[in-house]
Order: sequence, then C-alpha cells, then structure tokens
Amino acid sequence: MKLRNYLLNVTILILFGWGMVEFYNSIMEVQSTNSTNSDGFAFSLNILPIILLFIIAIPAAIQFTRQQRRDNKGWKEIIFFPAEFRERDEREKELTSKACRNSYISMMIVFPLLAICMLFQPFISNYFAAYPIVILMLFPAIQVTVYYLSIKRKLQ
Amino acid sequence: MKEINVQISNRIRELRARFQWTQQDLASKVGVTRQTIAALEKGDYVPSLLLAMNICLAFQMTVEEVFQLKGEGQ
Repeated sequence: MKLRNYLLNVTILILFGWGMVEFYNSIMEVQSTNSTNSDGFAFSLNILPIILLFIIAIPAAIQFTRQQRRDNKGWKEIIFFPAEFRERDEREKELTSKACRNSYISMMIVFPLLAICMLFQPFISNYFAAYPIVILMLFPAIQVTVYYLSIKRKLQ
Repeated sequence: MKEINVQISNRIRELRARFQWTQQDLASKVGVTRQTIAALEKGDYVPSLLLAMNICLAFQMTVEEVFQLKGEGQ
C-alpha cells in the first residue's frame, strides 16, 4: 500500500465525514423549523465537502478500476475488494493477512476507547452536535492507518 | 511448546546468476511477483513448499541443492 493510496483513503473518509456532519446539521435545522412552524420547513446545506468528495473520489475510482482491469481482475473483485489489497502471490497474501490481523486487534482496543469518548456526547453536543459522526468516522480511519503501518513495517 | 530456532537459506541469487536470469524471468517462471523473488534472495521471506518446489523445478535441481536449513544442530 503506497503512501499516496493511504492519504487518498483518509482524505475520502474525512470528506465523507465532513459531508455527513453537514447533512446532520441540515437535518437538525429541518427538525427545528418543523417543530416551530407547521407550514413547512427550511434548511441550508453546505455542499462543499460533497463536491470535493466527488472531485477526488471519482477520478480515483476510475484510475483504480483501470489499473485493476489491467491486472485482469474481475468486476466483483474491483467493486467489493478494498483498493489497498494486493494479493498477486503468496507473499502479498501473507502480508495482507498479517495487516488485517493487526487491524482486527486494533479494533478490539479502539472500539472501547471510542465508546468511552461517546460518554462525553451530552456535554459536547451543545457545542458540536455532530460529535457522534466524528467518533464513528474515526473508527475506519484508525483501522486504515493500522493496516497501512503494518504493511509498511513488513516491507521495510 | 518448544520453539525450534532454525532458518532457511537459499542459493536463488547464485543460481539465477548462473542461469543468467533476471528476477523477473524467475518470477514469471514460478508465477510470483519480482518483489517476492527479491524478498526470497534477501532472506526476508520463507516460501511455501509449493513455491519452493516450483523454484527447484525451474532450476532443474533438488530441494536440498537450492534450500538449506540453518540453526540448532545444523
């Protein structure tokens, strides 16, 4: 897994999380106007993260699909397998399986910690309502980071 | 469980030079990536029995001629 792919994955996760935060804020506006005014509702939506997500994710997806097709991969593999999986031979399969193992172990450590972070939600939600979304998005970001660091350490 | 401290060394680099094959040549013959051959030559990776036998087949040699066991009592 190259540093570029890792940064791309994390950037996409951040933009997706940002987009979800903006949607969450909009839904909160809809809910508040709905409860105060029964004639209708109004909301504003910051679509910048969604636009940035499409600008980055669509070319990345096209490039990834082309590269996978060059390696004679099937459509099922292209659609369902993560881009960072390299399993062309037994050594790469072993590296991937070890990185997945480390990622799984990290899940057992990170999950309770993030659950503890969620305990502070009642205090933080007054200042930042989308706090649970950020906590939720941290989970895949940490797993991708552990996967990347495991592969990098094995390749050194 | 008793841990057995043995390592496998190989003569892949030497044999490849004798046959005048590049890493890519050998990789194509045994169906792996060039990086795997490089890792084998550096001793960073221990091949599966299938890959080891395929490499021996490519060199037309026995397993003992290509791979050696090093460690306790060897």
